[in-house]
Amino acid sequence: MSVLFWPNYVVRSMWRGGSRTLVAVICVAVGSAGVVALQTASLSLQAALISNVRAANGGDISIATQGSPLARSDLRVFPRLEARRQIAGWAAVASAPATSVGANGTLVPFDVDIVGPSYPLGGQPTFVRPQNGSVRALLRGPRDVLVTSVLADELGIGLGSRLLVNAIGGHGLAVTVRGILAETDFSHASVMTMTERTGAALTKRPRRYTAVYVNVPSGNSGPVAARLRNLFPVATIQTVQQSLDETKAETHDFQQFMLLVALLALLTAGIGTFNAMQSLLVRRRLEIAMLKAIGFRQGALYALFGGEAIAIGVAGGIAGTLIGVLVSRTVTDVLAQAMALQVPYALDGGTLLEGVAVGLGSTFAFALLPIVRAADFRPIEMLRYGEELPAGARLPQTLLVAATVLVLFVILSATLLGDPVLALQLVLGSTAALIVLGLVFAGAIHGLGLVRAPRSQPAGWSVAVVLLALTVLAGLGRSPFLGILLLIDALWLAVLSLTGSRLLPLTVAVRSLQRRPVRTSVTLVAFFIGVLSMALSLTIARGLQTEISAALARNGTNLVLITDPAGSASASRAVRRLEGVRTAATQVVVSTRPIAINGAPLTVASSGSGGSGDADRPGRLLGGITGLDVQHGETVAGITLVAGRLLGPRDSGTNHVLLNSALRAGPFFLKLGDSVRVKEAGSGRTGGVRVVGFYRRPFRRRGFSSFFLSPILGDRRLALRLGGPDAQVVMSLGINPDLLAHDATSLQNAVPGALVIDIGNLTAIIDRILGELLDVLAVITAIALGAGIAVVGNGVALAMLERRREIALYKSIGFRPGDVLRFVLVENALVGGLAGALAILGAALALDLISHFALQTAVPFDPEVSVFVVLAAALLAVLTAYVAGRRPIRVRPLEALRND
Amino acid sequence: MTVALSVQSVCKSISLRRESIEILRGVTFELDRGEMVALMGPSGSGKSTLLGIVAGLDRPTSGQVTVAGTEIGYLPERALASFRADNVGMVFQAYNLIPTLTALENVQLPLLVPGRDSRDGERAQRVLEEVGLGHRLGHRPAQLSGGEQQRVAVARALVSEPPLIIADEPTGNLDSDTGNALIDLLLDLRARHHTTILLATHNSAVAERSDRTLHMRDGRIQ
Ligand SMILES: Nc1ncnc2c1ncn2[C@@H]1O[C@H](COP(=O)(O)OP(=O)(O)O)[C@@H](O)[C@H]1O
Ligand SMILES: [Mg+2]
Repeated sequence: MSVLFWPNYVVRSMWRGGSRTLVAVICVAVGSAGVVALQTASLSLQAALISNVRAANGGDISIATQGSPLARSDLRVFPRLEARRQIAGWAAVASAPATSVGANGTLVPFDVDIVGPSYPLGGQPTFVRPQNGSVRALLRGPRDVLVTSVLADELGIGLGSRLLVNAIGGHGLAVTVRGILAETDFSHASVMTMTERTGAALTKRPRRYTAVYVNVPSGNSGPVAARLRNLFPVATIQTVQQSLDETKAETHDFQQFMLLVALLALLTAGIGTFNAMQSLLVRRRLEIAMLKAIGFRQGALYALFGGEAIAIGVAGGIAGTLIGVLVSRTVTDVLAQAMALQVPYALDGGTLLEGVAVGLGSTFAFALLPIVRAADFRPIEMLRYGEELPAGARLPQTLLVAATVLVLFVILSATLLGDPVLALQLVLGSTAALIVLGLVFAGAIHGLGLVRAPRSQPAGWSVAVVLLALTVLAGLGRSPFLGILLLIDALWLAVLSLTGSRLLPLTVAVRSLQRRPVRTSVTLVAFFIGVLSMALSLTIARGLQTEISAALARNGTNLVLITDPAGSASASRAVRRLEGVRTAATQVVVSTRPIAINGAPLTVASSGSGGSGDADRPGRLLGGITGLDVQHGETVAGITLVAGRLLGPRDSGTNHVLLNSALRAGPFFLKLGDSVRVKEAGSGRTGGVRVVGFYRRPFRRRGFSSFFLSPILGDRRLALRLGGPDAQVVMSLGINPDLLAHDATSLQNAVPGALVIDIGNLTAIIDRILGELLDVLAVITAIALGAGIAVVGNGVALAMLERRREIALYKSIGFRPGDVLRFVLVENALVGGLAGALAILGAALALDLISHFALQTAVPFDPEVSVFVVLAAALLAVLTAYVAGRRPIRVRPLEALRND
Repeated sequence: MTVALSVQSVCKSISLRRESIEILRGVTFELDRGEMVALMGPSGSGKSTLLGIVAGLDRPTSGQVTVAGTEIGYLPERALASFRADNVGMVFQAYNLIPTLTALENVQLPLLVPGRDSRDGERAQRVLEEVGLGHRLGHRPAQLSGGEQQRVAVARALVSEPPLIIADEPTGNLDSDTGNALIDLLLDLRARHHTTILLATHNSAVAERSDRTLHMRDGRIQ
């Protein structure tokens, strides 16, 4: 036999496979394209974040004190350390809240960072414009400022723009934008940076320092950081190394998340590859029987089919890598945009190789079972069963091959993720999930078959009425079962009201689905994954939006004005002149830092380790006092007393306070009757407060205005005494929504020495951020859904092939191609609807988990999303089936019915 | 006597890549109403091709096919489908039942073709009883023997009471007793419904029981 037989056979077989070969290649390509695109995007992102980590950290060591800002007097320690040569230099950044009216007329709140001449210590930050800018050079003029790209977007401004900045204790300052800074992390910060000279013109209030950056003489910053931790127990202190580690950990998590998504796409596409290979080989049963009859051994057949798999894998891998490269640019840009980061796009050679390898590897893993099955059947079975060879004839062998496929996929994922444990968890977890899903789907398909026309029409209609009532209840109760109920309703109404030829498509569809439960479940699972990600992104987005508007609606405050005591009289006058005011309340707020508890100075033992996250949460809970008019019984809305008592008229003029009940736990373990000594951040004055009660404020009940209030609740006079001129007067106003925008700007213009914050605008900003988040989800959804659709299309093509005879028969009886197409479309509408309905359930479950663990709030479930997802999924499946099935249905009946 | 089927100079050729194969080379014959005619000839002589054309499943390259007064050779696709639904019942050698549907549902199929007006819900059951399968209504094809499957196929061909039944080697997969029983059935039905039957067969016993036999060779009737 000629040496050329093998390659010749492989090429011819692939050619004869035609569209099926193409489908297999496309499925493989979808998988590797996902891997290449997501890997490239996350590598680019990672490179961007760690490229300038010292500048991002601000210096060798950063001391962040947002929770409880430092007063100028607190900074005296730094010159001393410098004199003793323990540190080589330092720069403190003071911050002040500010607002400005943007180019589109909206009022935008942001933070102003006021920096000294030694800033920046850690090298120049990354500039968006001008390129290679320098802080010192750009802030030379007396009214020059820098803004972050997020703030520039919010205000709608660019280089050279002039704008009026309002801050408490000032008169409004016109500044010029000289540079736009890139974001350095995922925090979406709206910040304006200015020099101390400009800052002095902006506000006369005492400085509150929220960050200090320190350089050390030698390379070793560890001991200095430890010493600083002792000095500033409630601050977050981070060395460059820690910052780098943290950034790496964050981006590593992100990269793993992206790769998990890619693996999901790979898995889904793998199902398609499996189907396509199966289809390719099933079609050739006769040929295989022949080869065996001629005397080909098992091994030779493996080699022949393996050769085809390799060719398909390489072709798919290369095509996928090319597509991935094309797509990765967009994915990177979308991600960069969504995270407001400056991300230079970089292609990595390793990723390209990985793409091809992934194509080959996944083809091999997923083609294994069909190949073994095809090479293994006995020719005699072909003769006995003809085309209807029962599937899964040999279970032990199938299980063995399935186990091999699992191992292969674990290896594939482990090399991709670089983490064998995670890979194992992932593969085992998703296998378990897939099996459970498969069983659920098999059950659902079985359930479909039970829907049968009732004996008596009246009984049937009463059931329908009950069903519809249940559906309405589910809709009103925002139940995730709505989708399933809708599906059952549709089926039941169809069974009830349709007869004869109108009901036939449904009968045929249900029967065909039942005939191939395994194939149907597999297709359903693949499609489900895509639809689930769609349902999830939609529910999360809609849920958060609903939550935000609900928070807004909860307390009527939609406009907040913040000023200093000196400005409060003129602010009150200006408020009175507004037209739309419905409610108004005034509180005094001061920022504080705890310095001693029950007379014992706070030491490092009581603070967090300087890591990230919630380490400084206890500090934040003592980070400020809200002064209430206790004499007149004023209290804060939405709190519940947990211990002790509420404040009343008898607490007027005392230092009695309510604290957040979280402080009863570590590290402070506060009790009723304890006294806490606090230092006011701006004035530097200190004073003691006595705990008379603990409160809790469930997240659900927090309104937006609570962001402007401080966690220690006490008498107004206490706050005024501590804060002096540094105290802030917060007026919470409820304005007629129609007049809100107008009143907001006119109030701000009337009192430039106050901050006016339009909460309605805040929602718009949050909406925008949410929208960008949605873009990221959309990319992911598109990838998952694309793979799902490929699988559905592939499944339909395969089914058409296997049912050629059946289709021909329908036609010979007199059904038109359109009628037969209707059978197929109804079948896939069922598949899509089912996947949609179950995806809603899955999304609800996921949402529940997310709400519980991440958001600490229940994100409400949106019934409109249910209806949309079920319909969209059904429609997508139908469209895919139409595209994939239209041509095969035109098969000429005689060709398929010839009895040879 | 009315002419049920008239085939005039029907030619059929198929063009493969370069050459063109002539399968039918001018076939002419007529069937009277109620006649049962056997079509015999060696394998490859063009029987199936001819039956396909007569049944409206395929088109002749030239010539005319007239069934119950309708010239079907050049009907548009949709009209041809309706023609099949109203005028022709087909029986194949390989039964070709829909595996997912029960015997009764298989027989009901022709009545469910959209546009057909068939109020008589019991008819399919009656026809199945007529072919002796009244006790097998709810069974799937896989649960029936070959002979039973073929009887279901005959019931399906009959249920819409078409004037013409085309059977392509209906006994080809059956043993001679079962085959004979099937022919009995066809003859009996013809007697009752006055149906015209054209069947292709290799079995001379079957041919002997027909009213007449047409012999085919190389695409021609001899
Ligand atoms: N679609 C086709 N393509 C190529 N050849 C065909 C096709 N259909 C029929 N033929 C050829 O036409 C001839 C007659 O076929 P057929 O009508 O099936 O014969 P019979 O039923 O008498 O055995 C055969 O030689 C067959 O090879
Ligand atoms: Mg034949």
